[in-house]
Amino acid sequence: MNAAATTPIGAEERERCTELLFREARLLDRVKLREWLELLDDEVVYWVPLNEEYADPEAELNIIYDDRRRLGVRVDRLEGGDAISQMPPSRTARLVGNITIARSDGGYATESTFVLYELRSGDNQLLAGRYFHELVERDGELKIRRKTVELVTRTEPLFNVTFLL
Amino acid sequence: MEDYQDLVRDDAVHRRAYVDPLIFDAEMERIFGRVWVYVAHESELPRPGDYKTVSIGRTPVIVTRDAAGELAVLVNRCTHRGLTVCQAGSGNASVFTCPYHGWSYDLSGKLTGVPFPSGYDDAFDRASRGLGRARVESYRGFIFASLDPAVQPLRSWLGGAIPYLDAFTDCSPTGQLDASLGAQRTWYKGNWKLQLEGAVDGYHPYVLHKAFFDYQSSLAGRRHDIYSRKESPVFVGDLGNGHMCIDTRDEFAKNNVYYERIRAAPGGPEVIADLEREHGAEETKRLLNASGGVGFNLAVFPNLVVIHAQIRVTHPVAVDRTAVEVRPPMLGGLPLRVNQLRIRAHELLHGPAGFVAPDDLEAFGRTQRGLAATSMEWMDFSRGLHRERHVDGRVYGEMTDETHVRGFYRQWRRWMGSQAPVEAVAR
Repeated sequence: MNAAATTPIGAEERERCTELLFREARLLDRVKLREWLELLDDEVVYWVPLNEEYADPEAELNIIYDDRRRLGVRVDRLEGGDAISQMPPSRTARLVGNITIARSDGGYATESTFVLYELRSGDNQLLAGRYFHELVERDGELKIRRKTVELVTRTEPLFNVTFLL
Repeated sequence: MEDYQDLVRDDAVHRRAYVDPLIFDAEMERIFGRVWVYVAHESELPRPGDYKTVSIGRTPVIVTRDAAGELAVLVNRCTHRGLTVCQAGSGNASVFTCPYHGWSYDLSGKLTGVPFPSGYDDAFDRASRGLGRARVESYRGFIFASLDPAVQPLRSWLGGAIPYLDAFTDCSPTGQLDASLGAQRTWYKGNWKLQLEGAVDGYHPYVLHKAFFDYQSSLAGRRHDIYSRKESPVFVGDLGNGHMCIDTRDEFAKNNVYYERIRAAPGGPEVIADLEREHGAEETKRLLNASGGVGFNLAVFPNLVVIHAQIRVTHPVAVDRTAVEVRPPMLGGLPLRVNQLRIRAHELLHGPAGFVAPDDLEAFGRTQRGLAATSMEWMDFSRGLHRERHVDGRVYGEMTDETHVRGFYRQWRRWMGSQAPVEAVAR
């Protein structure tokens, strides 16, 4: 293991990672989805597992398992205004906290807790869980290489979760 | 006792069938308490001791496979003080022990243990205190149970649905489905019947799912018009006993529908390139079209739906609330990577975040809201009544017709009468 990997995370690094997670949350809540896409690495994986124990999205049945291309289609759908499950669109507010950051191969691995309130057509729901982000350096910027959304309620019947988690 | 016969007309059903909690109660007894209800696929319980908990209407049950491999469906209710004796959704066990006073039961429901037995005298009859048992039969791996001991044989009940269940199973080159991968679970704020009717409705896709079919068109580079063409070989069917289908097989194969969806899945292009190197482009296309899904939607009265590559089960929770479980099986005899791509294509459309199913569930919720209007009493399903074709006791209509819904409600009306249908009383 090289020296950088074992050095404790400095305040500046912590600030960079935390700011990216907060920025992502703000963009999703404000439904600025094109700007959100810009935070993602080309090789991004966006995964919402449904099993209690989960390890490999290829081998499992998932709630969402998107690559960059399918995420683009998802955003098109959310912006298209034709899908009645998002007509009117969801309004959300999410709180991200309890952030821990570790160095990982070429970047950082973060774990955080989220609470997400959603309102649509008078129906509301409260979702909670943990985010796992893998962040990588790309031309001096941190990009999201992988985002795993572990919903507390993933094994229960879920109501509409067609907005971005 | 109300017999509800006036709520169904030839071309309409009264709103009360969807909104009246007393009718929901009656449905749970008169329909779910009498007919064959789908409970599990055998591949979910491959080993001795495997079990799964579900409900038949409101009755909690445990589907078990005992040491000899026999299937049983047990009422999940301790014969002592009434607790459920099994909490987990699925697992493996040799005994179910009630957590309250410790009565225990084996996989066939037999009472095997009673703590401090001296509290009962010699007249205490263990044999009569086993867990309640439902009738159980399976057809090609699909396990059905009935709370009516005198229910008709499963095969005769399935009747017109059998060729479709066969075709779904034979999507696998070896005729084997493995439904143990898991299930996407969701729910909607509407009556259970809306999912059954909606699953077989050929009138809505072009409108409700337009955004998705525009996307499908963009994949193929030409208009996806299966659901919007005036002349179409697609038909809907009332298969008898309340079972329904919409048969799109010819159109799906001709238009490479499954192939295109699989090609757009994460990892799809890479796997397809490999397959094409091995088998050639045409054979790869044929394989993916044949294995991507079955090309029809089937609804088996009152709770089983088979769509594309999935087994979907509806769980009535309340008059205005329904849970839906979606389980795409892996197909025996296919390479793992092809099976996994089939699952990726499935995830695109289905589950609580899919590009198709949530729009259906939203439509069911809005139906429930609209039906609150007491000034409008009837829900119309007259479409295509003038052009139905009757063949061997079955009724067929054109793709957008509501022939199947009329068949469903003829069956609903029959079971909801205060007199039990003939099959249910004949011992």
